[in-house]
Amino acid sequence: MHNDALLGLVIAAALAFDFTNGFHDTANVVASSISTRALPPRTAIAIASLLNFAGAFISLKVAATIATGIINASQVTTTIAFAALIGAIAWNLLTWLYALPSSSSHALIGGVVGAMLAAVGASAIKGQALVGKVIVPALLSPLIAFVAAGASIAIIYWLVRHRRPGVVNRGFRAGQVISGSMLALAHGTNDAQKTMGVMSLALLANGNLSSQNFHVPTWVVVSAASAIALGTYAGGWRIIRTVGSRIIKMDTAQGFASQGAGAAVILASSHFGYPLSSTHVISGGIMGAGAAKRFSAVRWGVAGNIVAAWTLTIPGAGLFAAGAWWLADLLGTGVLGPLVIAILALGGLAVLGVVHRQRVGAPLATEGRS
Amino acid sequence: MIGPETLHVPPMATIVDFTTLGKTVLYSFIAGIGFAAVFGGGVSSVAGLVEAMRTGRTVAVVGWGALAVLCAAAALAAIAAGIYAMTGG
Repeated sequence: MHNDALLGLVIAAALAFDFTNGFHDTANVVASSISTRALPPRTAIAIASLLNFAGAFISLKVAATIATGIINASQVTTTIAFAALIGAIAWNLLTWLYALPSSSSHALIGGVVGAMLAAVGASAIKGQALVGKVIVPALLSPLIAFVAAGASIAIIYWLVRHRRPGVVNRGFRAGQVISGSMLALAHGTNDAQKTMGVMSLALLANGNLSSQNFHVPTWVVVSAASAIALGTYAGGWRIIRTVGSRIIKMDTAQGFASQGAGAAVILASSHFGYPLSSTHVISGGIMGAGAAKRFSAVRWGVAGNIVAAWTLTIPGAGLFAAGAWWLADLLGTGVLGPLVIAILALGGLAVLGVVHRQRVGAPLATEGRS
Repeated sequence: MIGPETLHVPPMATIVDFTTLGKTVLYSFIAGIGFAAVFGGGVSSVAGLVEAMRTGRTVAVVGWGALAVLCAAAALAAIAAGIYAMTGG
């Protein structure tokens, strides 16, 4: 059923989600490079933005997984796609307000699944694909990054064990420019594609695309790439202000190893179409690089946060998405329901912002996102 | 009574594509650890080169220099190969 006004609303919500994804994740992508002084903050953020943009053009397999891999795309309506996005955005805002651990990627997947369950039922979910393509890779990916980063730093320390620290530090500082760039590229590849997937779902539902001949239109790729790059750039300015207090200190070799391992895991997963939480992968890499040097130096609480995020995010976002779909359905099948929800969401966002400012009077929490 | 016959839970091997997942793990390790090892070798070689130049050992300068160039070339080739593999599908 064609409804271009509703489609426009979904596309706007998707791009807003993509922007916030980039905004939240700037810290993950540039933190190591800035903390080890491998790059000045402004340069690190500019490079991250550009490479997030470029990364979105590398592969489209994750977008295909989101759009057609975990649900029956032929049963999707534009309202379902809208409810999925609202569920993900609402969950992100709630967890942001209460500083709960979360993952934007998992929130989006939870939103898609929750909206489909509410609108169509369990038959619309490809349960086995959801487990095989989303849940198992999500559980494994931080562990793979942990092991890869740990092994990398062990090899690096062995290789440079008799060398002068000054030369070695300068070498890995240069290396971090490469590994940080690869991480930004990887982030753009995996995360921008998730939004492309939802936008493609909406286009499928609106009849602009066919599920038999599925492809992601170029304008979808360009707009998603632009939104995540702009979000990364905008998010970066807060990082410049808070970099001194929030970033874990590590040496240049550890930064290089953790970024390299994170980039490798995200790029390999993107190549095979697995949508990952990039924050969890990067956290796994940082913990691996830290544990290999000194086990007790690692903030193991981060691991607990990741487990909590795994447990809560998909069902939580799913519930919000289901609620959004039911409300939209209650108000009719046209654009009215989604429009009312969008207005309510904007109002809620303004209230949340005011409440948060009154409560903490400080910059907003950004940890635990992807 | 609910038992395996009534639950009808498919085995994990049919849910998870272990071949693709295994490839993902393997490529992640090869790319992550391999690149770190090559680059680490390069940094170590450059440090060795600096030390050899400082002490005036010509043979060591040539040896460490050649190894550093080799590692740099291998690291660049690895990045190019990785991007090619990603974009090539």
